[in-house]
Amino acid sequence: MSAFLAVLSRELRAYFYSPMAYVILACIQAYNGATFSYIVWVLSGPGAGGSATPLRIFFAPHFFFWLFLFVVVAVLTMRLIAEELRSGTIEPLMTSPVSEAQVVLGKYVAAFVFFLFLWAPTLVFVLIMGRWSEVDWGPIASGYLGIVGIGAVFMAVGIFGSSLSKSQIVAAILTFAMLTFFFFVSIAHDLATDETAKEIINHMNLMQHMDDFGKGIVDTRRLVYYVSTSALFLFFTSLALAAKKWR
Amino acid sequence: MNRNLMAFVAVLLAVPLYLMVNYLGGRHYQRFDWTGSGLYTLSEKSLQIVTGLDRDIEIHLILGAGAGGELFDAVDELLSQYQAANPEHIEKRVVDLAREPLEAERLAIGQGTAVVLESGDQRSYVNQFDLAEYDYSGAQFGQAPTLQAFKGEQLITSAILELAEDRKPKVVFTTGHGETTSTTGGPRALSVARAYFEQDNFEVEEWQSLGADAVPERTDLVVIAGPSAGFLESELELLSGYLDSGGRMLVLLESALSDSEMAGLGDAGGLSTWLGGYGIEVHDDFVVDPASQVAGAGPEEILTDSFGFHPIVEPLLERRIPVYFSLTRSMSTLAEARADLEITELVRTGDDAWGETDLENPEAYAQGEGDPGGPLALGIAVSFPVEPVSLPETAAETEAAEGENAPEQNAIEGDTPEEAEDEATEETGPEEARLVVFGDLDFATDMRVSSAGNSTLLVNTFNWLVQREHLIRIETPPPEQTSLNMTRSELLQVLFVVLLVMPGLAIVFGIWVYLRRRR
Repeated sequence: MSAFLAVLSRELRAYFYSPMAYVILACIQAYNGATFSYIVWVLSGPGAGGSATPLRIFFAPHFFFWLFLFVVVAVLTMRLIAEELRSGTIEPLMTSPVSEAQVVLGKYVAAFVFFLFLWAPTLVFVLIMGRWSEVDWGPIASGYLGIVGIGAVFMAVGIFGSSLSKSQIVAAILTFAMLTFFFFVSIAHDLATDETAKEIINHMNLMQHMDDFGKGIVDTRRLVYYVSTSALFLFFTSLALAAKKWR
Repeated sequence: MNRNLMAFVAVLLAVPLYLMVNYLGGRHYQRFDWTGSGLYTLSEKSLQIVTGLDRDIEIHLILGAGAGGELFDAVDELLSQYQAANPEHIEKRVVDLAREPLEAERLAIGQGTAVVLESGDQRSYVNQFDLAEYDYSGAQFGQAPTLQAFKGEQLITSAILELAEDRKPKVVFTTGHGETTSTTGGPRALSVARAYFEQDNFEVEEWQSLGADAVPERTDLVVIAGPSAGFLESELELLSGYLDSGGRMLVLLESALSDSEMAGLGDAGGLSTWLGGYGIEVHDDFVVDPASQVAGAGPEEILTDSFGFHPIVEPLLERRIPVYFSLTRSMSTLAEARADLEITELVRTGDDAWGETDLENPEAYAQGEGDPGGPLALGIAVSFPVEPVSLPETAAETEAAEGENAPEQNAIEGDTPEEAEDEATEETGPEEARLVVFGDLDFATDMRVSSAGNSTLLVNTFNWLVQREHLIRIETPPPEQTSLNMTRSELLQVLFVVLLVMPGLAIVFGIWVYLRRRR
């Protein structure tokens, strides 16, 4: 446990003391701010009165949301293991009394905490909405739950991508490619005609999941999928790390 | 080598485990609605029907020609809830008209069809134009139409019921006494009420009771809606015979002002005395309740949320939903009523109300000495036990039953004692007679039925009368609507904060961290 905490604290310091992290934070703030501004502008216009709450629109998936998320996740996670492999610091880490699982978990949790930190300022949007309209806290909580779940999966994919190469750029590209797969799954859903295929694709359709969370619907299938997929990728990452140690 | 083999085996074990967890998670799941108003939660009525289904129903959501855009998503989500409520028997699938023309042809999808429900060779259709009601009042100010009511749940549940029930309950509206029509629309018509009946899978007919020697065969409910001419003695005897043998009746009266317009016929169309035989005293008055009057209307227009304890009004009582009555006749329970009658006052006025008996000077609004004082009953439910009788099968039914090897049972499972009792009732005829009387017709008319909780009161009354308590309606929450009342300067302030201040603060922090590290 102490080894895990040591890795976690080391990685958290690396994130929060890196100016790059704040550049990412500024970018994500600008993006979320622009989305929120658009929603506020539309809903305060004379033709307002649609059938969706503002934060549902905010959490509703659209192409740019996903593209932006993929880039952010790839940039946040590319360094995690690839940098250790490149600089050779992985060897002393692996020879110390720390298991692969503890290393992977420590790095993963740190990256995940930073990912959540990036979303924390959006709570200001909720307060702004509360000032001018009635806020239904349930869909807001479920919207954030969706972000947490999808973030957990994406960060796990990202750390796995980082374990596959010594180059951070290659790791980022690999992560981006794997995350794009999740996006194409949602397109495949519209193309599939077979009912079983549709059901399987729907199970993995993160766009649909996020739409549900944004509406205030929490489906246990989504949560099972996020936890199991995150666990699977973390397991693969541990194996990839162990394989490098064995060589 | 051994380690590589171990890693390979670990992957071989992990992947099937992952698939198994997701398969089980996909088979046994729950959907929770976290919205404050329960916007995405099926009503009790729908849940009871859906969870009790024991036959497979495939629900096809039509993409392309049916519900489009915003409504498509709403219907899609709604159907997901139905599937989640009973995944064993309900399956949702989307039919894309552009890509599945053969399937579209098989389902006989017509213009505007949004949803097709299919069970075996039976089908039921929901039209996209019936799915929602929009308010266009803001159109002249350039505002988009706003969704006033999404009626998807009512329609889908009704369609499921249609597939699940083997026999539709039959309702007859009496005619021949100037009753309000249910066949054509109008402020004082009952066409909307009739549509509610039909949505809940009732078969509706009109019946000329004058000269008839029996109530139509297999009638489940007789409705007398605002008669303006008297019933003959022979007709009342016929109705008594029907009710006393376990019949069900709904009587909607009008105020005594209408009696005076009936050229001296009076006596609530001849029904006052007859209703006395069932423990109800009908007053020759109209109710005035200044404490409950509707804003901007006279004190004879009443909005009341005072209800008795009865299944009909239970949902209204629980959620404090008022009902809107207009020019209502008051009633009371007769002290010397028969001992076997179970009488419940459904709707009451406030304490300050009175029954105005001065019909010559109705707008004086002053309580006279002979005027009955509040609280006054505006609606009364009566039930009493009857001897069960075996229902004779018609020749056609016998023939139909013989034609099928295994006649299907009612698809609603009867696990609870109440439901088991319902099933027994179907075989032997009702064991209880039920009668509901309202002193007001207006609350059920096209003009008023959508006001406050009127539609709930009316539909619950139908369903209690025909012993379909599992269909007692619960009001569905209104659709989400949001607009922000911001001034231009407030809007600019918000944009300034979210577009400049918040990203700017992140950059300032970044510079601070960078400078600190350099030091």
